[in-house]
Amino acid sequence: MPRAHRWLPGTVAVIGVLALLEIASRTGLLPARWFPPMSDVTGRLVGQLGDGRFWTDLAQTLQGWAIGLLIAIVVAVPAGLAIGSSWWLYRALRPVVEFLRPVPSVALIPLAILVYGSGIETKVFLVAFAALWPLLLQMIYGARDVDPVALETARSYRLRRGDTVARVLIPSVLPYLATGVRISSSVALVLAVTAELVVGSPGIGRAITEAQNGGDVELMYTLIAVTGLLGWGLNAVLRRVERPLLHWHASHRLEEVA
Amino acid sequence: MNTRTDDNHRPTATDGKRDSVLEVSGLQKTYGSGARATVAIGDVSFDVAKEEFVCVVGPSGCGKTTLLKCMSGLMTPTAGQVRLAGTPVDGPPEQLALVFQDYSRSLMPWLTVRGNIALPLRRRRLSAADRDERIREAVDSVGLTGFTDHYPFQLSGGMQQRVAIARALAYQPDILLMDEPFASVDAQTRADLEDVMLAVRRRYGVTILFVTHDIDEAVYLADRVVVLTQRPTSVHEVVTVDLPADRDQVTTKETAEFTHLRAHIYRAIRRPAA
Repeated sequence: MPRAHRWLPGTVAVIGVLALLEIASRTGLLPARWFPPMSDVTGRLVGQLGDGRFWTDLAQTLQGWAIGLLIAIVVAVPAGLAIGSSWWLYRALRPVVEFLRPVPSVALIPLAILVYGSGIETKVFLVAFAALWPLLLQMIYGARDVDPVALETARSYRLRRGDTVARVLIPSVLPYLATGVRISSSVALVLAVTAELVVGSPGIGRAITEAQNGGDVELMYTLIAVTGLLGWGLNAVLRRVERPLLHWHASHRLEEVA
Repeated sequence: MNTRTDDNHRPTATDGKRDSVLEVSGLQKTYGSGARATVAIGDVSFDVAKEEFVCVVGPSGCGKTTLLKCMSGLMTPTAGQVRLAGTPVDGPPEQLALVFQDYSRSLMPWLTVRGNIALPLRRRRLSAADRDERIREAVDSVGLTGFTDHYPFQLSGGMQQRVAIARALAYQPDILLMDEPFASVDAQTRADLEDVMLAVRRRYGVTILFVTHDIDEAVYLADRVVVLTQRPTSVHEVVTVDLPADRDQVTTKETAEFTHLRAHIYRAIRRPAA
């Protein structure tokens, strides 16, 4: 199928769903009070783009996402590689990881508020905690999954330690890193918005609560749509960044062929 | 446990007569210890002369891979010794290249054909021109001209194994060890790759030790065939292949001599261990 046509089914589906919602609201099938027509929401979205307040909120959400995710990466990548490549660390820390991982980040909100108050620190703490685990697990898997035949090849050709790390180990872990960062990125966004909604840290999440309190249902929908678009956009950006690094990997090869 | 003794060293039949590149003497490998110890290799001794092509065959599960890992320095034998050009092997030796059966895992998927071949050359202090020339010659001699910028996933299995062979050739080792390298390609590709080996052997004058479970392949390629027994493995017989150096998949394999050697080795392998 030609490359341009790959977007066709998705685009048709999105327009179809929007059209259905529009019809449902306009005909009264859905109460217009709680389900404003999509054309109005889209109009508000365009209107928001010219509003400075909107851009400040967006920047604050993105700031929480970025700092939290960065902390998670800085901690999880070396820790995951160390745990995954050491028999002892793996045996010792696996139960700890398995215990901490399922703790929902939101359960730590009271603690975070006690310690950090309701500002950016709470948001960053929650984002970093939640984003840490998927990435840590991916790095552990990645370190454990380095092909023993590739390592024996390196050994039998007496590659220098540096060459083995740079040309054998790092490239084989890279797909796990990319997947981990993408999973953690969406988790980070969820937690950034959650912190804003629940704790009231400034950002899109708090703007949603404010729109709801003010009875501006249209704006509320607009901002909800923005969080969705944000997640989609960040994922697309990350895919774009990893493509030149992972063009040899099956996940990206399939994309080229399809 | 890892102490190696020279007690088992015994002179081989060819000592002093030939210029040996690889000598295996009294090699033994036991896995585990105490009541659960498994003797994989009982007592294996043989040697490979300079520019010789030796094939090692044996019944399945006779520890061919263990033997090869001990010879390539990836594994330490329990007793006995491997000497490469007179020096005892106690780790992967510099003048040895190993071609694995599993080419798809031995090649780095993130490197091009050129990148894969160049990887072991980074340790050799070569000028860029020398390195490129070595890569070009190796690629040409395995019939991959024009594929240097391809990635492994863009090549068929047989072509990937050609890349692994080219990587070993460009390294220019004194001896090339091959572990059932053609076990996972189809019959036609296998015949082509066997002929590639005969051609590169002539071109590079490299010494080759080739482990295989395929008796036809062993007789077709080798100057001598080392026939192993079942576990605990020892050398059953060393068969000299007196076929002319110029070999052909059809005419060589229909000669009476080839058929005879093949039948002889089949009988030797089928016989239960004494």
